[in-house]
Amino acid sequence: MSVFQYVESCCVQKNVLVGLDSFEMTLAAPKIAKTAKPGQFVMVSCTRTGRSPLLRRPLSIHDVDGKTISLLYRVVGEGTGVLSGFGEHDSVSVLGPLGQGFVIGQAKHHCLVGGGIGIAPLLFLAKEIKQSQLQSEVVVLAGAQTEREILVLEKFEPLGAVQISTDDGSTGHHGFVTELLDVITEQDMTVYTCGPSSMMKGVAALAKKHGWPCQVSLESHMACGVGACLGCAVEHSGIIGHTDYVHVCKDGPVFKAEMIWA
Amino acid sequence: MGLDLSVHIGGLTLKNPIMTASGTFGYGEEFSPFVTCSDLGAIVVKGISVAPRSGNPPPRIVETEGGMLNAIGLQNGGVDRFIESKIPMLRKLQATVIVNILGDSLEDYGELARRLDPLPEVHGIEVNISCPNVKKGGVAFGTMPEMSARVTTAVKENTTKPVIVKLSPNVTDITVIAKAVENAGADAVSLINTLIGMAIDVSSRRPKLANGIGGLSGPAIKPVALRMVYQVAQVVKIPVIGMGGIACLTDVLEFLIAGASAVQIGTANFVNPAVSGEMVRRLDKYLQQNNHTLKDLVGSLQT
Repeated sequence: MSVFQYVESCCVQKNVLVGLDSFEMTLAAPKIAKTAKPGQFVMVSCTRTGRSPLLRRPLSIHDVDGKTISLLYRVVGEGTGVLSGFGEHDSVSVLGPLGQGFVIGQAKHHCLVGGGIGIAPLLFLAKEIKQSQLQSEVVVLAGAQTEREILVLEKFEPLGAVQISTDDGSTGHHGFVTELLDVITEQDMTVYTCGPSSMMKGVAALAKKHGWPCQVSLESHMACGVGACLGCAVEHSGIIGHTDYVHVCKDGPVFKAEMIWA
Repeated sequence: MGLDLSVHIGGLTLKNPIMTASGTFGYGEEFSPFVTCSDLGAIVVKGISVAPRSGNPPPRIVETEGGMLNAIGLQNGGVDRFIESKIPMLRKLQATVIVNILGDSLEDYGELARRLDPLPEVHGIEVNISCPNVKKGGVAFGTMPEMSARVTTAVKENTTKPVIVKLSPNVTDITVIAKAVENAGADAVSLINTLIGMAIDVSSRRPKLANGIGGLSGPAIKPVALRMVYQVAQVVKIPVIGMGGIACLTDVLEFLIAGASAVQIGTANFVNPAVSGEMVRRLDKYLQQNNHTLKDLVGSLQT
């Protein structure tokens, strides 16, 4: 784990609604911005009182630009609800950057598969891929239940080909995002995915079928975010051996797919 | 840091009364970007058992009003891995290290004490007889005075290091257990461990924790912890180490006034990973500004 971790008191520069119950928050976080890697996350204090809610909330890093980081989050409970009420010039305590991020593969093609709010960490990843490997091709597959849950696609368009699927057919392919993945014929490709567990499991199975290396970004409730409380345990596929669980905060949040689903 | 903040526990001198609570501070290294562990009175590392333990299935934690429930299940790599992989790292931290131990039997506790005794990196042992999240051992020992005493004896017979016994609040009268372990030779008691609690998901009508029940910690338990620390401090002569919901300097002072010689910071480490180091500096500043010594405060409750 990186020792470059900080608790920064961050000034909110922007916190705007970008889709169904979903917000993008930009924060001045110079130390975290300097060391963050795609796929890493931060623990955000979502409180105005300092006491409630008590625990920080883990949110992936959506983007890094100079001395700012941005977070793309969906309001799902008390913590994210409070967070959505913060405005410009409010201050938010942020701990990070945390965890193991994506490892950018040497493949010619990179397929980024996001489900709903799971698109969040893939923008920073897409930018890093384009920056580190000029010849690489990025394709982004964004799935959601409905059109209003498809978020920030315009940001991906300069970086690669974008395809959409919705469960209700309100935009893009009518069906699951995995159906878009299954018809890709490239051989030399790495797959990166973040979204609902059932979707990622499907993506991992397809990657295995096609012989593509695949990395999955998991989500969990957390207390500490730094590997101390052991609260964010998930079962793994058994290839690690000495323990029955891995921890999303320290061993992940990004794992090789085969570590989680054999 | 001008003042003498030192605290004596058995033969061990802590440089100040601020410790971290087992299970909330990992093995220290996780917090080294935020806290200089050697500045603390002591760090109490995650509980270890003779054999490795996988812990409970997830979900293991849930936030509740003013606190959280956990049912980690004492996940740890066992004493062999602790000695092999954690001791070299703890040596580098140069912190005062208390190792929390737990077992299913008296023999387990004795063996753990014996294995840790020769290690110079280990400065003391905290005996966990009070974890609510395992089926056998743990809390079963801690709710019976006679068994608590026998565990204490088993540890004392196998170590020359100071022995702290960590007490469960999930008992009818905590002072009876405290006196039993004092009589068995404990050098100090620490309290309270978590209170057994539960949270329910209405839509599924299931417990929010896979284990069903878990240990409640955080600011919500502070009044209970203070009461128990006060009661125990009245009846034992050995040092009392107080914990339960400490999140700020005022909380630290309340525990000291109630009779705690030292305190442990637990759940607050999750909220602010730098909090333990901040408490040392704030306590020092408070005592200087008010022209107090630590001794003036401990057990100074006016009734």
